[in-house]
Amino acid sequence: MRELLGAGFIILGIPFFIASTLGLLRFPDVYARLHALTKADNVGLGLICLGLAVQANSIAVALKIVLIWGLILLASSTGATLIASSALRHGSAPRRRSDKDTHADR
Amino acid sequence: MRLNAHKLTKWLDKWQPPPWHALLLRTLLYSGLWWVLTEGQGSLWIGALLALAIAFCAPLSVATWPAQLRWWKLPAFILFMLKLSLKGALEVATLATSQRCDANTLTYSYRFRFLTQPYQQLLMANLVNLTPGTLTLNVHHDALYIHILHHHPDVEAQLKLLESRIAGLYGLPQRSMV
Repeated sequence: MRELLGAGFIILGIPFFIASTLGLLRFPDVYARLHALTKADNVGLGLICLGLAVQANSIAVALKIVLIWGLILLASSTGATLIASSALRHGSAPRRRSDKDTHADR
Repeated sequence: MRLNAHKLTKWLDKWQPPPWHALLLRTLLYSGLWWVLTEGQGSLWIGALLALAIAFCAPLSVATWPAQLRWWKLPAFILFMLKLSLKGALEVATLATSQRCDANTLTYSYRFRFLTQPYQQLLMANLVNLTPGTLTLNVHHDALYIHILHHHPDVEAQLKLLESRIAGLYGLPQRSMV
């Protein structure tokens, strides 16, 4: 039963990773791409970690997996702001809707 | 080498023993971390000794929960963040898989209403990245400079709600609610 539940969570997590990769390829600028990496990826990873934690043999292992997810959330969120502020400082202005979107039809 | 000795002297000058409750809390937290990291297989004595040593040496401002944090509100806050995170992921997934990535992106400056301390503002800056459609570009002069992936009227209300929830977590007075 636990294996089945764990596998269910892992399978649920995969579409979020695929969506995040699509966002990374299709979104028009660095800022929009960071949205894909900080949101869809983290939920996908969270579901996969949850699936692995459910299948773990002990509470300590399950907590370790959840701790890994928590640390990745923290690193990804902080890293996104650092990358965005660095991009902004170096002159890459965020795109507006009115700007011509060359990636939209890909 | 001389620089390191200088740093050590400076650290020793600043160091003071933590109060017993902070020491107890830190030792429990670090021992728990040791137990989790070793998957319950490591020696408890080594873990407790290491935890005690780190708890004694770390400066008071590091790795100590702020005294004003409302612990009992933490589970509800985590659930609130998980809900927002899932909503954000679904929004990104919808946009990424739509035929035309027709996102109404813009930048927005959000002025803090309740959060005054830098660590509270930093927490909000980090959590904004996990909420639907928002990304912190910069924290500057009591304001967050935010990139909005797909602007809709709910975004500002969502940011205000997030700030009120963080203020509630720290037990801060909220003069005017949304």
